[in-house]
This record gives sequence, structure tokens and C-alpha cells, in this order.
Amino acid sequence: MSVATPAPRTSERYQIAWRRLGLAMVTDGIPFAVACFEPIRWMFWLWTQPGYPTSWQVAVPLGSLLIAHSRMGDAQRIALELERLFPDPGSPQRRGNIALLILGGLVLVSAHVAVSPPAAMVGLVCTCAGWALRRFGPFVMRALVPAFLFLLLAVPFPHHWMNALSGLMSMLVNKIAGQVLTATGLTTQSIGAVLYVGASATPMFTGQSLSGFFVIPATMAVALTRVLVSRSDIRAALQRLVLAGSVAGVVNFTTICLLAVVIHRSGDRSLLALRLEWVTFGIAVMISELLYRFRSGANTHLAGAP
Amino acid sequence: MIRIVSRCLLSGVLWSTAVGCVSVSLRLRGMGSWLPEMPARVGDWVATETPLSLETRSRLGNPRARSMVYRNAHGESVVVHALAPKVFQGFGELAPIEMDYKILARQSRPLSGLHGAVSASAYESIRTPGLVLHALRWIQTPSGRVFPFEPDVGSNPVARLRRGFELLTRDPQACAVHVTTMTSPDGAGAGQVRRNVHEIALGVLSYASRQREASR
Repeated sequence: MSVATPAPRTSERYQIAWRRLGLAMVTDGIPFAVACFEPIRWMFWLWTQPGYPTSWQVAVPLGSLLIAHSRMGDAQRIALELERLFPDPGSPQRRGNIALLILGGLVLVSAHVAVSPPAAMVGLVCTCAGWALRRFGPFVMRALVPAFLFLLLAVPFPHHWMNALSGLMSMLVNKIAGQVLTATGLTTQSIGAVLYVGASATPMFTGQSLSGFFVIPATMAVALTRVLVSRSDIRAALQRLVLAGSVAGVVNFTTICLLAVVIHRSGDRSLLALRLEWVTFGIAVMISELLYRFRSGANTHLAGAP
Repeated sequence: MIRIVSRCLLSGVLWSTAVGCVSVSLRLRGMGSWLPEMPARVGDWVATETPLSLETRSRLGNPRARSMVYRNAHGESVVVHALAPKVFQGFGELAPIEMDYKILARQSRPLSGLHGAVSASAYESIRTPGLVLHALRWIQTPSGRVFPFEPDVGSNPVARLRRGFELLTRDPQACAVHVTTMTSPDGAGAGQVRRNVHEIALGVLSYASRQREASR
């Protein structure tokens, strides 16, 4: 005759949970925090530099957490199902390969040797993903893959690539803004990344802050977060991304043109020092969200029509 | 049992990573804290201290710097920059060379009487064709070790990793020394210019070794 073990009381359950949490902190939490301290410090230093072209990346970990949170229910359901099907905690279905964690660790140490923030961020993502894979197994990991892939958007572009790209975009934006302003009757001249408006020899824009290098990818990253959280199908996801990119581009050009007209009329060149990329980004996100809702609302209405 | 081993393995990898990262960070903390002394005279060359331009300093991550211009009685001049970088960009190319010149030739070679190789380079001016800049560069440690300079260390991840490993294993207090001079667009006296650069480079290195001997 078997005697059933009595279930632990609530206070005992709390004690067990605290003990497990403490153990997890010592075995996993503390070393992870120590290894990631320097890379996170580098990242925050980079992202908070005034005029850093991709400082929107500071919000990427938050987006990644939102995506992970939206998939947590699935991950828990899979973990419980696996526990029922494979009671052995060492089974390959419940315990993944450690290679990714080792690779992440090696990349992280190499990034410290080379003092390289992009490599450190890649190492950080690999270490997080490798830990989750090892701890919870490949099936649970599969549910969380989008969150880890999204986190890769926080990897800073190498400095020289970013300079080349932002310079190219500044030039392009200035050319188009110059043409738009010429069409409105203003005299403009676009030389390289500098736009001259009116007869003045003083440059109107260097095109760096509103080059679109900040606003367009940032708005698209927000749209991508929304797509991954709501689990849209590929077609809807592409539509949303294209819409966000186009709206961001249009809002960016409009801001440049309006600012140029205001500065030209008022003659107040101190307005050139304004950094409008965050404001422009906010407006672009708002408009693209409203447009998407309006569009999907119209589609739903059509779908429901007889 | 398997569960405990698996847990220990996971924790072991994480702790090894943490220890590796912390020890590398602590070791590289000494970067940018040492600059070599420069001689006031090398043979009949007389030195004048000149500050490095603000633009170059800021592009190289504001390193500690000591710059000298050596002039001789014939009116020839050789410029020496010693930089103690706190970031890896500081071990890269000087800003005017990066922007105004294109590379003609580059090689690493031993300098007579020196344990280690230096990097010899020649650049042609983009604005004034025919104007060639000759440079001898090296990385120097307080213990007198010398190893070749890599100009693309700021942009090339492999060169960066190699430089970081060298600093870790040799001495993180290493500094970069640039000895440069120019030939005229007509190309006259190129051989003499190269000999001048060699003479000043050897003078700077032998002065550093004499200073080291004296401090012992």
C-alpha cells in the first residue's frame, strides 16, 4: 500500500521557490550579469551619444521582451507537454545542445579582447539564446526564436559602414528635398550632403539628423515588433513594413521641407541646431499605425460585406 | 545525477565566460597610460614640440600624444607623433593620411639594431599628385618591445582582434609611434628622405632604450 506524500504547505512552497531562485542567481544570473556588464556599458555609451545615427536601437531590447512575453504562453504550454511526454529531464527534447552557449561565450570574450561593441552584442544574443536552448530544449526555444532574432537589431553597425550609409542617405535626402523646394518656387542648390536654400551662402542642412537613416529603420522596427507580437501572416507583415517605411520617408521629407521653409522665411539659423529625429519618428509611428488600422478596418468591412 | 552534471556544465560555461571577460577588461584597463620620452636632438637634427591637431586627436579617440618636428641644417624636416590610445582607433591611421593620401606601398621590416619589425609605408597625395609621404610606424611597449603597426585596426575586426591579443599578451600600455616626412612632387631626393626617416626612427628608439637603462 503506497502512502501519498502530503503536498507542501504554502510557506514551504515559497521557501523552495526562493531557494531555487537563489541557486539560479548564483549558477547562471551572476556570471551572466558579470559577462554582459562591459558590453551593455559600451552599448549605452554609444546609444546615448548626441547625434548617434541609430540611437533608436536603445529600444530594441524592450521590443524583444515584448515579443518574448507574447510567446511565453506557448513556451509554457510546450514545456508542460514535454514534461508529460518525456519525464526524464536529461532527454534531448528537454535539454538542448550547449554548443551555442560556448560559441556565445567565445564571441563575448573575443569582443572584450578586440573592444568591439558589434561583436559583443552578437555574443550577448548568442549567449542568451544558447542558455535558453540548453536550459529549456529546442522545442521551447523554437517558440522564442523571433524574440532572439529581433534582439539582433540592437547590434550596432560598424562605424565606417554607418558613416558611409548615413552620408549616402544624407545626399539622397538633400537632393530630393532640394527638388521639392525648387518646385515650390525657392532657389536651392544641393552640393554633396549640404543643401543651400535661397541666395545665402550659409548651408541650410547637413542632412545628418534628418537623413532618414534614423527615422525610417526605427519606424520599421516598431512595425516589425507589432507584426511579431500580433503574429501576422507574411503578406500582412510585408504590407505593414512597407507602409511604415513609406510613411517614415514621407514624414521625414516633409519635416525637412517645412523646416527649410520656416528657416528661409524667418531667417533664424539657430533652428538648424534642432534635433527633430525623435519627434519625426513619433509622428511617423503614429501616422503609420493609424493608416494601418484604417486600412485593416476597411478590409474587415469589405470582408464582412455581402 | 545527469541533471546535476548538466546544470554544472551550463554554470561552468557561464562562469568561464564571466571570468574571461573580467580578466580581459582588467588587463586592458592600462591602455593609454604611457608615452615614451623623445630626444631633444638626434645627430644634427633639433626637435621642436608641436601639438597634434584637434581633429586628428578627436578622430583617434583623444589619446595622450607627444608630437615633435625634427629639423636639420639643410631645411629638411621629419615629424614624429607618439600616441597612447585608450581606444583601438588610436592605433589606426592618422586623420590627414586617411583623408588626403592613397597608399602606394606597405611592408613590415626589421630596423637595424632592433628586436622586432616596423611598418614602412609610402602614400601619394590625392590633391597634389607626385607628393609622396614616407612613414615608419610601430607599436612600442614600456619594456622596449616593438611590433608592426596595422593602419586598418579601427575598421578591420581581424586586425583589431590581433592587436587586442598582442596588447593582452605583451603589454597593454603600448603606444603607437608615427615617423613621417614628404618628398617633393618632382621625386628628387627620395632616397635621402627615406634615410632621414630611418635616422630619426632609430634615434627615437635608441633614446627610449637609453632612458630605460638609466631608470634601472
